[in-house]
Amino acid sequence: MSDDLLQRAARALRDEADGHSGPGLPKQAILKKIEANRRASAQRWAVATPLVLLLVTSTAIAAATGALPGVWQKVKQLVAPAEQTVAGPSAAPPAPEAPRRAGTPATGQVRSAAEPAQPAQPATAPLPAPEVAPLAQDLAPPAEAPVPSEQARNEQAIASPPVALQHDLQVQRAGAPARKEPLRAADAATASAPAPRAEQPPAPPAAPEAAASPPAATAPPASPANPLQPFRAAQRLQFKDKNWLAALAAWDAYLLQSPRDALAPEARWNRAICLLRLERTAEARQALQPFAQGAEGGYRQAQAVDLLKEIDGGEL
Amino acid sequence: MTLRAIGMEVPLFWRRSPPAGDALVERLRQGDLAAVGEAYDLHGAAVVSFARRLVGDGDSALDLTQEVFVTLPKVAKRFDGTCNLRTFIMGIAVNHARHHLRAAVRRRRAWERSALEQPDQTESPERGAADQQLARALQRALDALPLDQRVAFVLCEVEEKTSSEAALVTGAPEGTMRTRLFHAKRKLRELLAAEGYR
Repeated sequence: MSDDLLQRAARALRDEADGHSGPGLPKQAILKKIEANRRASAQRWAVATPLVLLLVTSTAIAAATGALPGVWQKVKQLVAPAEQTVAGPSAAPPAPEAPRRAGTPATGQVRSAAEPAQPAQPATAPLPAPEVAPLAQDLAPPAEAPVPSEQARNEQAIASPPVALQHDLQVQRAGAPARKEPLRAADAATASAPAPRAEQPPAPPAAPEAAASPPAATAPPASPANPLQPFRAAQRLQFKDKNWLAALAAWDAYLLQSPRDALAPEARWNRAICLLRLERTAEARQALQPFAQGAEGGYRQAQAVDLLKEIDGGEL
Repeated sequence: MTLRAIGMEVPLFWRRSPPAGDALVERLRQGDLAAVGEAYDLHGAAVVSFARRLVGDGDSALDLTQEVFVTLPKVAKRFDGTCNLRTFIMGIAVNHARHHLRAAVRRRRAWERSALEQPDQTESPERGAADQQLARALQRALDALPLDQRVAFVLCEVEEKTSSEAALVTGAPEGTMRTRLFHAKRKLRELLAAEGYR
C-alpha cells in the first residue's frame, strides 16, 4: 500500500469531519455546567469545613480536659460490636436471655447479634484491677498510734504489684472447678487487661452519695450495664473515702451480686480488711481464714497468715 | 511523556510567565466565566473539529469539547505560555480523550455488530462514495491503534500539524512524536491492506 492512499484516507477523514456541521455545542451549556460545578464545590466546602472545625475543636478540648482516652474507649466500644457483626454470627453469638422477635427485620437481627457485647463490657475496654497502692494506706495505723515493725512489713507485703494479682487470679482459675455458668466477658477481659492507671475516672455517681453519709452503710446500686460499677464504688469508699462501714456494705453487695467474678477474691480480701478496720476481729479472722488456707488459689495467702498471727497475738 | 502531558503540576521554577498582555489567559486563571465564553468563541470550533477527528464520533466529540472547556478555568493556571492558547486547549482535549475515545469505539463496534452504519445526516451527493468508505476504513483502523499513536497520526496527518506542533500539544518530545507517527502509519497500512486497500 502506498503513502498516497494513506494520505488520501487522512484527507477523506478530515473532509468527513469537516462536513459534519451538526448542532454545535451551546456556549451557555458549558457556562451553566461551570457554574453548577462551582456551586457544588462551594456547598461541599460549606458542609465539610464546619465539620472539620468541630472535630478538631472537640478533639482539642477533649485532649486538654483529659477526656480523650475515655472518648477513645467509648468509640472503640461502639466500633467493636459493629466489627463483630461484620465478622459473622459466630463472632458474637446471641445471648439466650435476649430472644429475637418473630417479626424482626434482618437489620434488627444483625443488631441483636451485636447487642450482647454491650452490657458485658467488650473485651477492648480496660477493666480496673484492684487498686493495690491505696491498700497500704488502708492498712496503715492511725497517726497517733505507734506502728509495729511486723505490721510495717505486712503493709509492704500487701502492697504487691497488680501483676501478681493477675497471676494469682490465673492460677486460681486454673485450679478452680469448672463453672456452672459461662465465663463472662468481663472475666476474660480482666484476666488479660493491663493494669490500670492510678488516675482512673472517678467512679459512679452513687459513690459520693454514700460517702456523704458515713454511717449509712448503704451499698451503691448495681447497674446491670456495668458489672464493675459496684466494685469501683466499694473501692472508692474504702480507699478514698475511708468509710469502712459503707465499704463493707458495698463489698457485701458486690459479692452478693457477683460471687464468682474474677475480682471476687480481691473483694473478699478488701472486705476482711474493712472488718479489721472496724475492729470486728472475730469476723475478720473468719474472713481471713480461707485466704490463709489457700482456698483462693494461694492469693494473698502469706499476708493472711501474717495478719491472723497478729490478730492472735493481740497486735491487731 | 512530560509532566504537562500526564496532567501533573509543573514545578514553579520550570514555568514561564504567560505572555504579557494575554488578558484572556489571565481572566481564565481568575475563573472569569465570560473569559471561558470568549475562549469558546475563539477556539471552540477548532476543538470540536479536532475532537471529532480524534474520537471519530460526533456525540463523543461534543462531550469531549464540553469537558475541555469546563475544566479550562481550573487548568489555565498551568498554562506557561510556551504555546498558544489553542494548542494548550487541544492538549487538554488529548488528555481527556481516552475515556471518550473508549466510548466512541464501543459505540462504533456496536453499530458494526448490528450491521447498522452511523447515520450521516449531512451526506452530500457530491462526495465520492469511495472516499467515504476509505474514511470509515481508516477510522476502524485507527480504533486498533494505541492512543498515543492515534493522537500522533491525527495531529500530524489529519490536522496537518508539524511534529513540533504536535509535540507541543501532547507534551511529548518531538522525536517521540515522529516515532509514534512512524509506527502508526506502518500499522495503518497493514490494517488497510487487510481490508483490501492497496
